[in-house]
Amino acid sequence: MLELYKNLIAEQSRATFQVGKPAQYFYEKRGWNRLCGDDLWIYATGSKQALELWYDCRGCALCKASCAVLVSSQNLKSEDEIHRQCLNFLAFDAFADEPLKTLATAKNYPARLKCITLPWQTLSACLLSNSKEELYVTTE
Amino acid sequence: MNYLIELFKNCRQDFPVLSRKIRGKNLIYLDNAATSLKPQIVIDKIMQYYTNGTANIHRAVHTLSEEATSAFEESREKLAKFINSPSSSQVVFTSGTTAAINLVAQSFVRPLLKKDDEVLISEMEHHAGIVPWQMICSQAEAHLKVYKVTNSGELDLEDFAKKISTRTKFIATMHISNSLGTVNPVKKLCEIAKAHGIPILIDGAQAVLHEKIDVVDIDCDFYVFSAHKMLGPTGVGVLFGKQTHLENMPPLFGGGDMIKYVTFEKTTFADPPARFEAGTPDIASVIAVGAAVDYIEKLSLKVITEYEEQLKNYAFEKLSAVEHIRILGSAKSRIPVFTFELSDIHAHDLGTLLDQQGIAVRTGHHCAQPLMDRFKVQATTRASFAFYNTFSEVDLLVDGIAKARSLLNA
Repeated sequence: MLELYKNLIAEQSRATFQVGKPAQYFYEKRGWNRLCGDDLWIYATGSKQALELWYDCRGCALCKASCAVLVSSQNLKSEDEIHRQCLNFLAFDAFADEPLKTLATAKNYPARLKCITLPWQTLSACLLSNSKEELYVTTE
Repeated sequence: MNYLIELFKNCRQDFPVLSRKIRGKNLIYLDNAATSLKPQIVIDKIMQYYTNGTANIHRAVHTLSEEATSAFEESREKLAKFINSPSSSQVVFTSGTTAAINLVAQSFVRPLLKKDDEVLISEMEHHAGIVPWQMICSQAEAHLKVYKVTNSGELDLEDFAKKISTRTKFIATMHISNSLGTVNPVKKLCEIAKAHGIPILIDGAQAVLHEKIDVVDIDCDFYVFSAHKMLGPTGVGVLFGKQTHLENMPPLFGGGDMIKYVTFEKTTFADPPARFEAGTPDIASVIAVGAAVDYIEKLSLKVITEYEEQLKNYAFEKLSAVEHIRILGSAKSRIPVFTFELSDIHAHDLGTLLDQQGIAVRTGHHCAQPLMDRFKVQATTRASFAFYNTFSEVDLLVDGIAKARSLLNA
């Protein structure tokens, strides 16, 4: 775990790429792990062929870093491709490319899995159904 | 003070897990509010029961059963003396504090409750001190009332007095907060409750390893605690009750060992405590609790308290100096339990990074979500100390926090 923090989490948790709420967006979804306080919003703008992803996250470094990796690795891909990648990540399929490969090693730490998976689960739910009725996504 | 430091340093060799390395580092166990460590003498008792004397209790006339029964009842006697219970028959074994509270809730309080009656608890309670009362209030269409905790993490006694009404049928409060470490004035609470003729339960789960408990002096109606928080094994709890209450309470569970006589038409229940101990209990663990009591009494709770007071002052001073820290509660009377948040490090990151250094702390809401809401925090970190913790472990905790910060902010 220490290696994961050193090699990826510490730096990615401070990433600034695509952080914030865009002026206009057509998708938004909240991910909230109420018990631990991880709280994030994911926004999508652009087009369905090239989704531009943004996020705003308050929470632990793992959750923030996972948001950053999600957005940097999936930004401007098609909606279908992003959704497929989300499902792959949540199934912890083998990833060849960094930083996904390193982030996916979090599967070895069950107590912190919920922090890592929250952004991916949130985006996946957002793409499946952007219904406002589901107030937020949780992995707790 | 030096002799105390030496005394408790020597105790550490009695706890085998303290010789364990976690990720190559000496274990620093600061999660005592969740469960205490177990000395070898307690572990040996469990081993002895299973290797040399397995038998059920209260049933057979053979030697093994007689030995097991004798050791089991001896533990009850020891626990009765430990809390100054007038009689060992007032000590009921349960599976833990939670089970003991549920037993009182369902067997004693539930039959008293009518529609719109009230049960009064504090804002400080552990979930085990909230949910059982919510359940019976819901069943009876009664109301759960909550009296406040002050900003310093102490019970608001004015609010307590204000919240007592003619509809209050029962009061329950914890002796020591599992998250704030606050030692509550339970004797005073019991006096007030008694003046209103309202029975009161004190949850002593966090108290038994840190304070000398005297149920006669406190004058509570019920006192409950768990063995595993006082050096004993998991799976055993104690319910102390006033004799008249226990005698008038119906059993919660029916089965073997809780009866005088059974026919298909009618069962006559045994007297307390057997009435509340249906089925085969965790015999080995109950016997081992007796060894835990022996161990604590040999050290003396007075001496433990004296040492922990110094340890608490030292830890509070050191932790207070940590950058960006907010320690919840500042009660004058407290044990060395510190729940805190750091404005720049999430509790779960801190818990993980401390674990990498061999330091075990608890992170999260500590089974006290309403109290966390009251202090407007979500996940926090809790460092809870016991007498086998050292002053240098406080320093290592503070260093560990600095290392975690350095890694995350580098």
